[in-house]
Amino acid sequence: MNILRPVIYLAFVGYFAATFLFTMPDNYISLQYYKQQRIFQTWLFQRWGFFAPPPNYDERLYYEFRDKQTHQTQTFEVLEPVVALKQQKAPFNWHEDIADYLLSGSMSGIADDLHDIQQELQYRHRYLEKNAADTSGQYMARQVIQHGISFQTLKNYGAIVAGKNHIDTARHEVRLILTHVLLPKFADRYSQAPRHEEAFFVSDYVSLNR
Amino acid sequence: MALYKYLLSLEEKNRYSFYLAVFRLFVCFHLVKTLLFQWAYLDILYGPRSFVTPVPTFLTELLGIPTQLLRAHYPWLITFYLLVIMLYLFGIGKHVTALLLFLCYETLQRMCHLVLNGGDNLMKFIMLYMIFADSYQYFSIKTRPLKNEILRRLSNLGSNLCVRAITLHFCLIYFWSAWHKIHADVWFNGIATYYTFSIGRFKGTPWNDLLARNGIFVTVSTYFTLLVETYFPVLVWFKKTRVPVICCGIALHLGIYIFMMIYGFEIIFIMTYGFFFTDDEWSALLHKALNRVSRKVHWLTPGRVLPAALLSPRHAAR
Repeated sequence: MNILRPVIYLAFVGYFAATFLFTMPDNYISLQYYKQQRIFQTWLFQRWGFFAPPPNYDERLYYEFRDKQTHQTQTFEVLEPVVALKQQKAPFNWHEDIADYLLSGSMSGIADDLHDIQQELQYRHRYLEKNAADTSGQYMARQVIQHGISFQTLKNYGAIVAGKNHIDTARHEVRLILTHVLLPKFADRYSQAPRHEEAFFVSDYVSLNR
Repeated sequence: MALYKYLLSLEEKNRYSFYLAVFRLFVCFHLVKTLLFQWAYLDILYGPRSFVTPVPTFLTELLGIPTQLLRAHYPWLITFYLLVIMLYLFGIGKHVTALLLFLCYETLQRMCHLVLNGGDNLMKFIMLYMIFADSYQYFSIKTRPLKNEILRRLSNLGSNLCVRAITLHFCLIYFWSAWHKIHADVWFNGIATYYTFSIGRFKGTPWNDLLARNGIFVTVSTYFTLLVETYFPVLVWFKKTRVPVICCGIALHLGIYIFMMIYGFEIIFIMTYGFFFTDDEWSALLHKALNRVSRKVHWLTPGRVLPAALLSPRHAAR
């Protein structure tokens, strides 16, 4: 016990010191250990900033199917009906909850990736002193997102949406439009004006075949 | 010297044996409940032909088990997982079963991270810490105490440190959550709950809109959340303030449960509060509750009282 005791306490203190250090917000000290933080988060992922800040929008996910020959389009929004059902069936809404988490989780994944890419692009622009008219970065960002797992999940779901709406997946291609419907500001909470909707990601037209 | 004495005292007795056993049961029921809710979606969440793009499972890949293999045979994985949950429920296999359960849970979490929330994240850490705890003194098939002195001391130390790890981690979560919130303008200015109550995904009741438009409610509920999260990590360690601050925490989580439809998460957080009380405190509480029931029964059926054995807290706990 005399040998084990110090080992156990050292491990305990060391573990909590690391947990404290690697869960704190980005600052001078934590960024000194950025590489170690990445390793720690790979093994013991944790993030505790619940609703800080809360989103000020509802999400919408549009699938725009385009006929490859005629170029006619049909658009379907899939998230709003899921959320409406989730509200109706609460608290017995576990089916809708799973569907909501799968779709919203993928959308959040895209939004997070987009944010990271844009931050990096801004940094590069400043570093290379490029002008604002350069759009190669936006193209690159779209390509990176479209090869990511979140986009692939939503694209695969597009085949299910197509099937439900009797759309031939061989003849059509799809474009994903991800939008935010902004909530009015607290001061305008009684406002009857229609809510502003803005797209934060519009994909290229992609094939529905996996 | 006082600290050294305190640390030595952690080896004398498992001070949380009752609640560790209660939480073990809760873990099993929670995991089975989650699995039942996901039952119709298992193929989508873990299957090989799902529309959900697979992510490599870190631990199993390290052990040389490819993620695709797990996905291809996911019904076997789920069956094994259920079996391990049952073993853990009855306290069979003890620490080895706890380790297996943690590995299964971690693997399933990594196989489909999209459906996870903060509650699942906390649960993962609690299950990791519970590998080292003796949670088998109650509600377990075999409750025989260890005879070897070193093993007994080690077991007690592991159990007490496990509970300390859970409570410390829990306080850390509130602390960093409050820290992040204070940094956000909507929390600082007292209007955050207007947004949390108005977002469609979290609109749990038809009254959400009404409440979100009430300025007083929004301000009070926003600052109440901030105050609980900020002061909980401090006040919970003092005997006089522990119960009031835990009551506030329960009120906060029940509010989120009802008004924001975040169910599993809130139940896990509320259940974790139980680790802030020792066996003796639970025993006194149960004794008090049973006495009250006894008085009530006596009042309802004059001349009849509960048997004395039932009033023994140890019996009640078992």
